[in-house]
Amino acid sequence: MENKTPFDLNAAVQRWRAELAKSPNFRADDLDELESHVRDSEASLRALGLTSEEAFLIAVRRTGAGDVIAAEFATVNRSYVWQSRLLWMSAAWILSPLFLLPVRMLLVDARINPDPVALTPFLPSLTFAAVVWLQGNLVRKAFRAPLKLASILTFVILISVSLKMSLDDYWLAATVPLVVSAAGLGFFALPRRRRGPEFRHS
Amino acid sequence: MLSKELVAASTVPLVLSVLTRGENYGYQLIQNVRELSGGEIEWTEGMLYPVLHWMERENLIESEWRTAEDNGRRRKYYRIRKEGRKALQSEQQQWNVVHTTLMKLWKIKPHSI
Repeated sequence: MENKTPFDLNAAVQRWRAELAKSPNFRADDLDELESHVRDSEASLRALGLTSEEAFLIAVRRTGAGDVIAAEFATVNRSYVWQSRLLWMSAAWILSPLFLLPVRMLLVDARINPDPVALTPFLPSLTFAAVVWLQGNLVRKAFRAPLKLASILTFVILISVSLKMSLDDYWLAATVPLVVSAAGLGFFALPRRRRGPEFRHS
Repeated sequence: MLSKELVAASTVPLVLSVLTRGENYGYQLIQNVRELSGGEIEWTEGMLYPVLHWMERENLIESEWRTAEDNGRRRKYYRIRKEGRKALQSEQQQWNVVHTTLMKLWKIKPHSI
């Protein structure tokens, strides 16, 4: 009979955890807690006489399908997800002059003077769309942060250039999202009654 | 087996009630509820954690990571807070009303708790 590769619990737990981590709905602390749960469950099933592999499989099965748990965590972590989005938006707005001014100079040198377009209202919504998109599962976690910032800056630069925005105009325009971000952060920080997660049964 | 709706409604009072017996971590909490219900209440275990986190945000309970004495692994322990005890009182009242009414309608003598 062929020898099976011995089961490595730590490796299996890490693979399972990495699969869950693909969803942005979990914070590291959530994953730590779920991992601790699966390890406890595995240990007590093993004490009943199962092999480690069998115990692990049942423990994971009892914990529930990753996408279902992720959806449930989204309901409690919603304010956390929004806080991080707002923080990214504010950061991009504050940092964008660093990129904006050289681009403008280059364009003026090249005698490109795009007509001003009334795009100002779209500025926050476009940056927002980029942030939401990058929070999905499309991008590996390590690349999400720099990509988010880059895509937001691209939007800001393109639109500001088409508006021929001066630095003064920029700061004026920036106050709007900054105030919105601050208000948003304050809003989520307020303690209030919320609908709890629906504790579904499968 | 409980219906999905009843599970959703009963989780918070069950968790609060288990925690009045002392602090506990998620896995043990689930085991306690399973044993007490004679296996009738079977949760999808991972689903308990979002509920615990929501309860913590509502100040009903508080949590702390600590290293367990039995195996040296870190576990997140939950404790009931004063607000949680108050919420449990109101839950108790409401569940009692439903229970007593149904028992009267079905002409079954209510169990004393």
